[in-house]
Amino acid sequence: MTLRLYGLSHHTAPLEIRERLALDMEALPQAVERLRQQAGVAEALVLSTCNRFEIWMIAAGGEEPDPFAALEQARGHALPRELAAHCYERREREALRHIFRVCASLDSMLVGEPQILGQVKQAFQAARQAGGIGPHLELILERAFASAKRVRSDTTLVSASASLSHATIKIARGIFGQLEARAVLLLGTGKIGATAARDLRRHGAGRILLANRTAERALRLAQELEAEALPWEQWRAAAHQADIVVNSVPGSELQLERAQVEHWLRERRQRPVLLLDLAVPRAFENGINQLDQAFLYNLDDLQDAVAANQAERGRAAAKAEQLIEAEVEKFERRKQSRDMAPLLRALQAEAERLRQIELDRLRHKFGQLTPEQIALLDELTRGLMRKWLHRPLVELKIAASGIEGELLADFAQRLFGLSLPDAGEAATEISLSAASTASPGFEPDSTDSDLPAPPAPPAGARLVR
Amino acid sequence: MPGLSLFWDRVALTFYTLGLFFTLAVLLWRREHFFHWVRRVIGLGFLFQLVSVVETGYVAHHFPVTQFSETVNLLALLIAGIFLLAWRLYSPRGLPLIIEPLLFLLTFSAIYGPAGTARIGLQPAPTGLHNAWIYWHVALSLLGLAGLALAVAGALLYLWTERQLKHRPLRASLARALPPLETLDRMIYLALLFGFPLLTLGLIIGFYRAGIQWGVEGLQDPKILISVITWGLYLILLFVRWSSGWRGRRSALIIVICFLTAVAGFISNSFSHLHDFMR
Repeated sequence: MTLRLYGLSHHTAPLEIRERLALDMEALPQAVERLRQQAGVAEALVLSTCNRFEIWMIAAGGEEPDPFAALEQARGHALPRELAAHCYERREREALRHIFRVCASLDSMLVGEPQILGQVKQAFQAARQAGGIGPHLELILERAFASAKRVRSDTTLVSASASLSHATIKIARGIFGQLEARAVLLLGTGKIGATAARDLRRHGAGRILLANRTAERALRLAQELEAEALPWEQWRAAAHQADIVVNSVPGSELQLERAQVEHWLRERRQRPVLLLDLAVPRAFENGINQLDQAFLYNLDDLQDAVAANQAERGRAAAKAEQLIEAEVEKFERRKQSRDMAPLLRALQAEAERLRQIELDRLRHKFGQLTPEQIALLDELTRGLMRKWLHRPLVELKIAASGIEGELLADFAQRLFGLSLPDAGEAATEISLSAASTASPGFEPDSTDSDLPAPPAPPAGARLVR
Repeated sequence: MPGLSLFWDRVALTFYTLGLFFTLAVLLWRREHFFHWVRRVIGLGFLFQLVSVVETGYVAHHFPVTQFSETVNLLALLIAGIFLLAWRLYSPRGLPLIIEPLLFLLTFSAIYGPAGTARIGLQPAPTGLHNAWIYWHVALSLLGLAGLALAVAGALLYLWTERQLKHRPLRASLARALPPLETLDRMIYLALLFGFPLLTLGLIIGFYRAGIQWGVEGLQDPKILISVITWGLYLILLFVRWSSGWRGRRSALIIVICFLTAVAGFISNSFSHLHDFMR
């Protein structure tokens, strides 16, 4: 079982390429289903945001899935081969670090922006719905979410961030100065757009007009933002009233042409208008920015508007990177430690089996024993067994968190004649979340009495005679 | 030597030179707080230049606009005054970047230029200029020009800021040092509204005096023609603003053209027989 990650992001591909791959949230479960049909893919998640399109996979069965073919599978159609030049691949620890960094917003275009965590969670739900989440991805994401939360609480990354909203406010101030009494038109109820509108309101924006295809969602958000909800058909007629237009409706559903903005500017008597196209694919025609008094920004453009906070963000990001690195390290160690669990259990089960065999074999030679004597004999053999096993179990547990863990595990298997199922099967068999709660006895500093009672051998474990 | 007035002018020039260094510091090291120092030294320069102008007038017993150096000196003083007023109203951070070199150049040429006070000293007013109408004509025209100079400084800043905001990738750190576009637009509009009636009045007085003294022929002077073009552009600028809200890049470009014609008008003193006293 190996963790693999493949895709592209704002680091490697321009917006024109990214928008060709972008998928709606509703389309993600189907993408995961398609991806799972790819040979060698045991678990899968598809993450599609404005800035990245990535597939996260657990490869199993010894077959290495072709990452580009997997990407095509997720997207549902063939892709031009030159796209591969924009893609990157990560494996195992590198992939793990990448996932942790993405969730903590360290890999975001606007480092520290808070939206990415929600987007990964949505992708996780979509993958779960499509059956793409197994114990491995579940565990990885569970830890990644917790680490992202730690980054938020322990560093100033998000507050110093140069979030999308921060960039929006900065640009708006560059054009209008004070934002008091400025009117905002919000198109769509997308999270990024809504956050931008909320922040504009917080910085003094007066009137907010809101239009969305689904009137119900528009009304809900309008209530929250104290905005005026417009019927979708009317937004073009009302747009000239807005000083700032924030759009999160993708270009596949909406197109705003230069001529239309020219018309608004005439109606506005050439007062400037700020247009923020936060959708992918873009919905506003590029040529709008060439118009006098029209200022158009898309997601890529905003990247540079946040340079002012770079120093503080840089410090916070460095701290967050350290934190994430420590979390990745911790996870890896825990993972190895957890991977030792089947071996420890198998060892205890084998010892228990041998004890029972010996007790049964010798019982008739003792003659008639009272229940007290039987209990005493049982206690004696069990105590001997535990004393004998204590040292090997503790050493194995300690070794599990170090680099010699794998070597010692092999050695123990040979020494005690144990054969374990494939690590993935074992992980499947032992629910990972359950494993994490049932594992205190496997902590290196546990004492004799902390050792778990000998369990029945794992379903997949075979004892070699 | 024209006495103490030249000394005060030199002191003013020293402050404007200091201002130039602060301006350079803003440009090179992005030290925005240096803008405040620029404003302070311009304030001090303004004070000493005012003393110089008053003293020149007092010593010569006439309004000091009868020579090129005096006119340029007065223009620099008016521009500095209007700048300080604009700063009080809008605090347009980037404005000193344009105003400061202009003040330096004008004051420098008033002192050391071909017809500067350092060379020719104070002279009595030429015959025929002892007329209050002429003084009003020059003073009002110069005030109108000073308003236009502030507008053009704002317009250049506007074009620069707009370019920064439209440029991809965005240069956020520099844009931060510049005032918002709408603030600049308001300041430019106010400067135009201030300058236009004064220039109009100055020109009307000038036409009236020229008509009386030289008849219709006097109105065919090249300086008068250029001044009429400047005024016409000024009028168009304000008219399109009132009628269709024209502002922004196009408007800023017309202001720059308008100012260039005003500068051409200033240079045309060399060809104007009506303004030959200004050479």
